[in-house]
Amino acid sequence: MTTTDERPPAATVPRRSSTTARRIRLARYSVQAAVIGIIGWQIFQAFTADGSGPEGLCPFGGFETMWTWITTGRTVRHVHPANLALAAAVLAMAVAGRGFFCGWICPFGAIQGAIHKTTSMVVDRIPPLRRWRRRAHRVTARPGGLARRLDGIFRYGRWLVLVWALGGAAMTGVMVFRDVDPWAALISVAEFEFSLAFTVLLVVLVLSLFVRRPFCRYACPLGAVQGLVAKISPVAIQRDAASCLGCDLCNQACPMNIPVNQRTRVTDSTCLGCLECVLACPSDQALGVSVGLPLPALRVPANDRD
Amino acid sequence: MSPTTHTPDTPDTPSGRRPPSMLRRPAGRRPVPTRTRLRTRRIPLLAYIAILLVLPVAVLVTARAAGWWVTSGHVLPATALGAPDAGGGSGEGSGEGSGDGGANATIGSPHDIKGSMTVQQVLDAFPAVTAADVYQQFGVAADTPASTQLKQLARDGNGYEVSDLREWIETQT
Repeated sequence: MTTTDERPPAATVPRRSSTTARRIRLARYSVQAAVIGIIGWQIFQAFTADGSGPEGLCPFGGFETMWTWITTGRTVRHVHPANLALAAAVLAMAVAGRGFFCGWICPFGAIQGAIHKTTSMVVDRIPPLRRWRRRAHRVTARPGGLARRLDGIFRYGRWLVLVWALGGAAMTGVMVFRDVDPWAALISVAEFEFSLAFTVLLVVLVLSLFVRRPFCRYACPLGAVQGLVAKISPVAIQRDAASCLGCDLCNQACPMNIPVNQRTRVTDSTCLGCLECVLACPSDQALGVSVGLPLPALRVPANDRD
Repeated sequence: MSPTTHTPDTPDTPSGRRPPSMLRRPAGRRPVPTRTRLRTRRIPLLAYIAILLVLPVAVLVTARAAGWWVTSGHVLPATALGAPDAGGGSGEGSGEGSGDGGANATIGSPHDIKGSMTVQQVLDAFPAVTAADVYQQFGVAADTPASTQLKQLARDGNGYEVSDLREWIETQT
């Protein structure tokens, strides 16, 4: 498909099947549940002192040890070769699908999403809460408002955390991020240790009630790594204005608040690859995943436009 | 089927009829135009999802086949104290982990001791140390099986940590 500015918007567009959207969402939730199940099983095994624990299943550990591994051939403490293999898998996914790992596999993102979704479902059923949410949304969604500005500033936090985590691990040989890592606290929850990381975990879980994926937005260094790698990805969600209804449903569906209906290709580093915008789009042709090569675009012949 | 006005996210009409196959653009809506210099081709959504789910599995299967799938810092106690050139896991730095190969590494110094190791592994690596000494340090029962992991002893004991054991063994050797 070639997108140009020249095709006039169609008066009518084909409708997307809602059955397909439901099935794809079900597949995503199933994958996330399976991953959480595997991690939960590892935590259980570690608790019974028979297993190795879920630390070996964290891809960010692979990135934290990367410098040490390249320069010395060894890994920093708490990191194992499996972490490096997972980091390689995440890199491959970032090239092929940008933030697909975050949207489809990351268990911590799934937990945050589930908390927010559950809260939304509860609020939907209680009219006073629904009205309060509507008022809050009017304030927070105001373009150029304080909430939007703060959201934009806090999003730089991911890069700061990334530099600190990788730089600290490279310079000291210790996983400095581990002391505040909410995921590390969650997988060690069986040890009942009230640490700084556990406090961060609680803050993230509480924030998830009000904000969609707060840790992913403001602090996740793994998401930042993928955002960097995704710069070379030829794959992206692409919008076709000729089929776009301008309904804003894609914007509302995006958990990272990306203004999808103002993009031609969604190349934002915060994109989770969850495909919620595509699934929410009522038009069959307006949003889809496309692979793009840096070649001159072909003009669509006039008789092929419809 | 005749075109109808777009109604967002309505899977079925109240009357039970199938939803319209065509949607009409709402009056007054002007979508932001799109523009790209790329030559792009749309990928079927299901194929895209399937590829991206298979991709990490393929990477991990390859890693496993290459012997890279090691999820713990278990260290083989093949090296007795004082054995020359302990191999991959014999790092001097106490902050370093399983190193190259992970499970194939060996214990070269007390710094290589990990919480996932068993008491027996420590005894095999450091003959100067006895099981009674280890149990006494941790403050656990003397009849604790030697197959118990050190982190379990730390959990059950009097607050003595694996790092304390490393330092103690260093003084004993």
